[in-house]
Amino acid sequence: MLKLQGLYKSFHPGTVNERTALAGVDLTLNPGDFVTVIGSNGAGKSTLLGAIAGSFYVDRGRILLDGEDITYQPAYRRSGQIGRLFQDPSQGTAPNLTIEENLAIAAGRGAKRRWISSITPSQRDFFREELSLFEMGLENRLTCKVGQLSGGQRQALALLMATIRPPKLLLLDEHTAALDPAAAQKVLEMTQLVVQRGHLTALMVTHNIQAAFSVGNRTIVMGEGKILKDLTQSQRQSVSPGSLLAYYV
Amino acid sequence: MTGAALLGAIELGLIYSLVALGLVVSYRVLGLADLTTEGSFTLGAAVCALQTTQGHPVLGLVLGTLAGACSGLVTGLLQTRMKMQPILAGIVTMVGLYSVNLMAMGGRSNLTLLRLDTAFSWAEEAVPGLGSLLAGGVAALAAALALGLFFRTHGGLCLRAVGDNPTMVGAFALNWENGILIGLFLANGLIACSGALLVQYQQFCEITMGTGMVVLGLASLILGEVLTRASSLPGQLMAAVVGSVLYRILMAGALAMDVPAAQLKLFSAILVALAISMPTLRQRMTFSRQRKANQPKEKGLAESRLKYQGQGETPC
Ligand SMILES: Nc1ncnc2c1ncn2[C@@H]1O[C@H](COP(=O)(O)OP(=O)(O)O)[C@@H](O)[C@H]1O
Ligand SMILES: [Mg+2]
Repeated sequence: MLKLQGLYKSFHPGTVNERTALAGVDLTLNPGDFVTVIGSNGAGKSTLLGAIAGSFYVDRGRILLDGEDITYQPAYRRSGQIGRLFQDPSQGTAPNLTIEENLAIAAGRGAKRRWISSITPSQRDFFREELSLFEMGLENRLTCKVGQLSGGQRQALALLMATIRPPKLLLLDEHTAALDPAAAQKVLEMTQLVVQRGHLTALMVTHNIQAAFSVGNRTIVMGEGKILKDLTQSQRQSVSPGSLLAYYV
Repeated sequence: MTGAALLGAIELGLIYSLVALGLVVSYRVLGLADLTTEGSFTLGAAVCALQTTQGHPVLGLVLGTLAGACSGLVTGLLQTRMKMQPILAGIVTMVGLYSVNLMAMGGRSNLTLLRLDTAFSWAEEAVPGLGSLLAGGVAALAAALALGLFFRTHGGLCLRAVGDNPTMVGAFALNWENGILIGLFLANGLIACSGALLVQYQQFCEITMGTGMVVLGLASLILGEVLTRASSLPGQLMAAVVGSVLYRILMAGALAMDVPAAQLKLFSAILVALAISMPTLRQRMTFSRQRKANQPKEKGLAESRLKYQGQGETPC
């Protein structure tokens, strides 16, 4: 599914500010893997997701998605197969467009876009149906500007947008960290729902160790640009979350 | 003001409204202050003028529009492929266009189209007295309508998203850089078309005719937006046309009041400043009313003032 081979990335190389963010990452995801990623601040979690999504090119190593080498594919091209959510809900949505307009753009991903058509009634019905899954009442506010939604609602919409055309890979970077506890819980539940429903392969960064162990089927621990531990479902059950604090140095 | 002066002002306003419509694309939709405008307006005018002197007025309008659109593409390429700052990219193109425009005019800094066939001379022949008004009106409405329809399509929607959140656009397999290119192509095409129409209308072309066009276009657009209270995109398109016509009527009014020609620039600058600061002034007034209403000394008055509360975004 996803194969990372020896990824290296340093920022500001050759200056006093040089930071090695990825120091040799090897990782293989199997289809349907839902992997949670934990590790201290600066461990390289966001850099890892950025490297996979193509926010920058890695210094060394290979990235293969379903056998295709995407190491030097530009980000917007990769996004045809990779969905991504950030901590900041405003990154994933366009505030001055309406909910249905945002969804229409998302629905065009990886599809043959019909550039000169406008949003059709059947598309609207489909959007309504999908939104009602989240039980937030968004299905009745299709023509509402997204900028008027709360952070939780925006992140829920961003989640639906990222998955309305099932991506091969879903990248979630602390996507519940900026939300209030109730909204964070809600968005986390919906994340599990959409991943299950679409049989998606996903990588989710979180600082909530509880969630990291209860969500998905595998957990990796990162530190200093490396994968320190890779725990399968059965291994996760035998490790106490508390013992992992040792990795947060 | 005489009827003829009013008619002339409306005709001019309709022709210039294509500049304001172009700015809806570059400034409102993409959020770029595109200084190419000053050069592309003249480029459209120059190319059209030359073709018209050679007896091809229709070809002149088409080529002028296309040439201007391509100059927008140059700015777009500098901005996206060369990562140049938007303002700087526009200035670079504008400076370069000065020479290009002189060349397009055959090395002269002005050209006259007197007694030549133009779109407007034909329109006047067909409908004496009102032909120019009709021609200008058709051009303005066709451009506004075409833009309105374009922005309803999926492509138009994606372009709006590019201006709103390029990161988000990139996440859905769209290259936002191409959006900038398409937007600047469209915007400067419209602006150049305005210049091309203007030379045929006034039967005269000069190298400096684009000077100040960004500010004038913006002032017209904002004037229209303030008066029509437009916030949606179709509203903004209408506002661009209404504002341009109004701006020209105000300028004609100043002329009619015998404002000396030398002071006309000052008058125009004040008008521009007023139009652009109008939204802020209005907000201040609303706020001070609210503030007064929030100190209920004389009950009846406070209540009546409450009615003037600001218009935020309508909840949905
Ligand atoms: N764009 C950048 N420029 C410079 N340094 C960066 C950049 N992004 C990340 N880094 C550095 O790389 C290291 C890893 O960062 P990051 O991947 O964001 O960590 P995490 O997400 O695990 O908290 C940090 O030391 C950080 O300072
Ligand atoms: Mg991070």
